Amino acid sequence: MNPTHDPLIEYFDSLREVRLSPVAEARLKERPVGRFALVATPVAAMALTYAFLLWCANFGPTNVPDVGSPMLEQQMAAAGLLPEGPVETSTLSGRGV
Amino acid sequence: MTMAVRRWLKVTSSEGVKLTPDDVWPLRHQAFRTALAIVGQRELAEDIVQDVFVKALDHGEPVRHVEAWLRTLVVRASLNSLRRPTSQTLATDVPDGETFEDAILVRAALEKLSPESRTILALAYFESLSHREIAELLDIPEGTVASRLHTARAAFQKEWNR
Repeated sequence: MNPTHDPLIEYFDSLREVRLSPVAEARLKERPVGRFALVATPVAAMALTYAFLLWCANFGPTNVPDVGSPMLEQQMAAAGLLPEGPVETSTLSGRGV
Repeated sequence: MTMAVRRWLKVTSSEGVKLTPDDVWPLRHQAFRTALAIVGQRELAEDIVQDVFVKALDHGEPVRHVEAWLRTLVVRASLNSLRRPTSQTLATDVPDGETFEDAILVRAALEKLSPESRTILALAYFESLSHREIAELLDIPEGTVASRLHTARAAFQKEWNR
């Protein structure tokens, strides 16, 4: 290779003024956070959702006994809200007590 | 103090500097040129810079020579990228600012070479590093650098004359 016309020298010299495109620069500036944050954020969101659903299953409105259920009658009886003695028809459950 | 807060605070010590975006941002074009000199494709070089910057900012340890350290990251990421079979495609795009008329022909010839040859040519011609510096950067013996450089030049010449 003739050193004065070495295509490698000319090629690599031509790259010395090359710059990142504005789009790539903007992308670089927008994402100073690491991949950890990019992965951790959706994982944390899923974990919070799961924890909320778990809380609802145990303490949320889905565990409130329906009106007319035996459980509610037992709770009301224990609280003294139901009349003592035989009752022909329960107004709550529709069943004979 | 969380990692995120610490990352944004510049903490200096005798062992070096913990990196912040302000440390690496001025080196973005330089990092891009190094990656482009090795891989020869604009999009790929941009992706490499993006990955390297993310890695650099996640790095929790102090860095003594930020510029040299970042260059090492870029060179190794570029070499790894070339080793992946998907990146062995012909680059025909001309990056902004590139003025050499035969750039596409040179790139086409370079792409016929092995990833190691392309990397060592870029380090010798573009980065103007000595054999010793290349040996340290690539973690290979100095004698290997000389022989690889000789082989790479010969291989390029063969492709160029076709």
